[in-house]
Amino acid sequence: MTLGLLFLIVYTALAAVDTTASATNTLAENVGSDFVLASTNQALKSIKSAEASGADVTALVERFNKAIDLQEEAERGVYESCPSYNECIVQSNTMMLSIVEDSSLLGNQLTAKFEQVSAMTFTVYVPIGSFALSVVIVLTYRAWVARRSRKYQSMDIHQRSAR
Amino acid sequence: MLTSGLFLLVFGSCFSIMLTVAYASLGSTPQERFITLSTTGSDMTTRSLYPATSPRVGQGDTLNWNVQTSNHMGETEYIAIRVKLLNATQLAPDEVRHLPSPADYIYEERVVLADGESSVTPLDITLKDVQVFRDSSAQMRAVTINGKDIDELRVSNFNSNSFRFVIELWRYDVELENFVYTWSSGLESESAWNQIRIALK
Repeated sequence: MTLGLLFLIVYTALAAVDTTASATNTLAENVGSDFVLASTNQALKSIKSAEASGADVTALVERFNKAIDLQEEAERGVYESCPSYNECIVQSNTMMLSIVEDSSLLGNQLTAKFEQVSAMTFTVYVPIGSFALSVVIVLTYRAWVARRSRKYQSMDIHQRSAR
Repeated sequence: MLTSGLFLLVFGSCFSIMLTVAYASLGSTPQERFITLSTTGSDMTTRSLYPATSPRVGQGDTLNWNVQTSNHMGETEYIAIRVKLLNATQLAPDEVRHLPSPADYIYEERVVLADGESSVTPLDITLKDVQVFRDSSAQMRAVTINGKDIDELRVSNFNSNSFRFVIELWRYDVELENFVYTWSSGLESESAWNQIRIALK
């Protein structure tokens, strides 16, 4: 009787653990695929955004490809770089999130730099350059006019003899 | 001199020209957007597409192909190379309307390419379970692509032993959050696909 009761308690406990583990796994797979989609989309968007700012995204693309490889390992169930489905998804998501962070940082830095260069170009370099060029052109023109005038003034007039 | 009409005219002209040059140099230049897709054999030529010189292959034969993609879209692209197996009568992709083949893909490889970057994806296809019947019909039941077994294909042909592997290029659209078959280049849509025929022996 005591042995039977003990068996029943152990069996119930094992079943409960198994059900919980199974439910957790299913939940992880469902949530995992949503996370994968969201983080992949976000990472790609941020890479494109950083690239549009003029950043060199080669290293980010390399990391993105590694994260995709982890997703594929999870999908195919052939685990080489990670021990299980959940671990592959977690690692992939972590990589994707780090790509989002790094590309945002890179993009922001380059955008700020680009804005600074643009502002300097349009407010300082272009007006100063135009002014300097205009002075040179006007001075050159005036020197040429003065030289031509002097040339005409110093000319001798010779009358052609009539035949 | 600085208040003369001549100086103001010259300054105005120089300012306009330099402003245009600065604006043009800081902006991006428009370019044609495209992705290339090509399939070759193991030695990167079309001569080695088949194990022998003819496209006749049988059970156990392996086709060693390389799919080359090159991104010239002006930005990073996340692409999927989808392999479809068609019989002699199934619809191939529509070149004019840029529609993919309606058949389901049996294998997919995904890769991200930065602008101007190229990649080579090996495709090792082993004909695992194929059969040619006495009435000249044929069936492909299972293949292995890059070590992945694809069973229960059941792609059949009546009165023909000809099959086609179609390789389609899909790209990820971040707005639609899904892979799409086409891309826009100016006002036109573009797509890329390859087709390689085999005949079962």
